[in-house]
Amino acid sequence: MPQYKLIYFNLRARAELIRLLFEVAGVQYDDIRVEHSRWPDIKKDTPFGQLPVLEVDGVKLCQSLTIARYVANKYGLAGKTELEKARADMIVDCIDDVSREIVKLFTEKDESKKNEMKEKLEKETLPAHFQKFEELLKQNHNGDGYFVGDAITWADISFANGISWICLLGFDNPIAPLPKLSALVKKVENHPKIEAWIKKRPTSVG
Amino acid sequence: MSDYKLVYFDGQGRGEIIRLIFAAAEVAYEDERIPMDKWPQLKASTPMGGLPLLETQGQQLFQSLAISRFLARKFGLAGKSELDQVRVDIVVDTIEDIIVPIRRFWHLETDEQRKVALRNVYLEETLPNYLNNLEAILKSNGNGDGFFVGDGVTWADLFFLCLVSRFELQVKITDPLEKYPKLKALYDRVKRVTGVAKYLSTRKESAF
Repeated sequence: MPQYKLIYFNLRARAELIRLLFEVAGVQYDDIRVEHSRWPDIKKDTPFGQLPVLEVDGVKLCQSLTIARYVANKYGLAGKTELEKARADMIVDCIDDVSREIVKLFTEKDESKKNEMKEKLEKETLPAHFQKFEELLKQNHNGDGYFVGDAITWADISFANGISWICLLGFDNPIAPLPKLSALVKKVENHPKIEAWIKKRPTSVG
Repeated sequence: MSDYKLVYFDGQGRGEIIRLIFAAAEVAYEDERIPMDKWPQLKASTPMGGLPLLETQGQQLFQSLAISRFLARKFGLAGKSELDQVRVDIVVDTIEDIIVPIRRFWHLETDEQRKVALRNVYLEETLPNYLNNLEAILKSNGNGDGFFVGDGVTWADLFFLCLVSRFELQVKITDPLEKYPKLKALYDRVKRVTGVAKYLSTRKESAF
């Protein structure tokens, strides 16, 4: 078993998916959370001045989705065939696109533009987007299973984690009106290892 | 009738990496290009309201990087070992990080003043930092005189070509790799890869 050291801030944001994958896989890892005051020191030891970083037996990997994909592939959570893996990849990328829109909102400094953006996100962009996700889920076993194939993959975990994060940041739950997606998220959160992790994970603001 | 159909606009943009992968692998595909005026009609019928799409084995794949990774793995352009595949993904993600802000000021920002301001920040701060990183990654592989990962071309190198196109077409920088000799040499090396050279020799000019 490789030695894993995950380094990030005390936030969910770009590391939570990785943590969830290790938890579901039942794999031991060091969940290191860097205080913001220590960041300037740590930064120089990272490959590109960014977190998260995953050290695998001392080899440093960066880029959160690449790390997550690596862990998912290693522990059977990425999909069974090449086509399934592609499907999982594309769904994760779509969820990441939504997260980026949200981050863009939070980094906008102009207050009136920010309000305009939030309004548009909540009333138009997110509902339209998630309607499409519901259709996507229905393509597989009529939406009563998982996003890909016959078992949970990182696509489902990433989706549930994304919804939880959006709500943590103060948005209305964008999938409240969507039955199949809501059932999927509940199913993921009820996974024994995920439920256990959610109970014990440190609180954070984002 | 090909095993693959790519649907994208008539330009490079997010579709070009896929075309370059087919070119490097020397695999035939149908290259459908949607005129802009036909797009509003088509949009509603796409899975997630965007392009590119790849139709293969009765499925519609979307998200350019997911499609690219799928094809690259199939054609042996994704890295030879598990660790090399991760390294390739890291380079691709790093290049994508460089591209994301370009989309913001070239495509998404409509206010002319904000557009110029964003471009300046990009050129003075963002870009030098990222290109330093990219050159460092290249140098960490056998002193930087080969490809980004391992000892052969991968889709990370092809994606680098897309980045340089964006510099030329969208950011409008004349010699973007001037300060980065290893990256400049890589750029020339990748353009000479057999299938890529063939493809580039007939590629038409486009606005994006």
